[in-house]
Amino acid sequence: MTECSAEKIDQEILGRLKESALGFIPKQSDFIDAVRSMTGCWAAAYNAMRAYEIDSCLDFSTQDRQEHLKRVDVMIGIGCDLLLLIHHVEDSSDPKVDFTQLHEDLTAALCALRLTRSSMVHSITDLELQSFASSDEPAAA
Amino acid sequence: MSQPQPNPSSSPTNSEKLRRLAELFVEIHKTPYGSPSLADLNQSYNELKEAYLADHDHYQRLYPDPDLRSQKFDSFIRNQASNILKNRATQQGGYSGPGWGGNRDYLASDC
Repeated sequence: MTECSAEKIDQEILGRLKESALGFIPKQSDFIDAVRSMTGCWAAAYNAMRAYEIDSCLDFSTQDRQEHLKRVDVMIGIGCDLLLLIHHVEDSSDPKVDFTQLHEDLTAALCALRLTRSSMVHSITDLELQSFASSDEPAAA
Repeated sequence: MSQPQPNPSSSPTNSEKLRRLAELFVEIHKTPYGSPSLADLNQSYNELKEAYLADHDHYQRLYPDPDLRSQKFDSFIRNQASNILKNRATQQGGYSGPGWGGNRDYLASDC
């Protein structure tokens, strides 16, 4: 089984994704192929991050949480740019790529990442945990 | 003699709703990119969450700001989801989610 560490995500996957994003337009002559390639790279980074989160049982130290939040923000930023690019080429007559499907898949993944971000942007105290967990109690009048 | 059947009209308790939200949270995190179920899972989570928050006035008193309320609630659900994963890992002697398995080979395969 592939081990998915934070270092692997940062160095090998997100690093490559950022490098690819920076050289996106100048280095790619075929715009549609470039969009498809970038989306594949983004998807691989997404899956690597999810594997890391599940391996960590969704439980991070304060420092790890802040570092992972940065990864999530990078992914959301690049993902939103990709979504715009896909939107531009969605009506392409290129039969090799189903950009509508790519658009739907990326939108769903971005929605899931925003949930991750929302759940990690604040820590939650033990007192707050009790407050939420005691929700079977009738609300005070 | 017929067995007593559960009443289909009985509403789930708050604990059951929270448990369902935590399980959805786990499923969302286990579902790989491109899975057709991801959008449905997102939608189910958001609908259940909105309904739950609307039903609980004390959350609104605790966190008057709607964004903060939403984020704190998501944090709470992540905590519950984490407990589910830890319990499964304890029971199975290490977690190996059905959503991943061979999908690990997908890492960076398109880069």
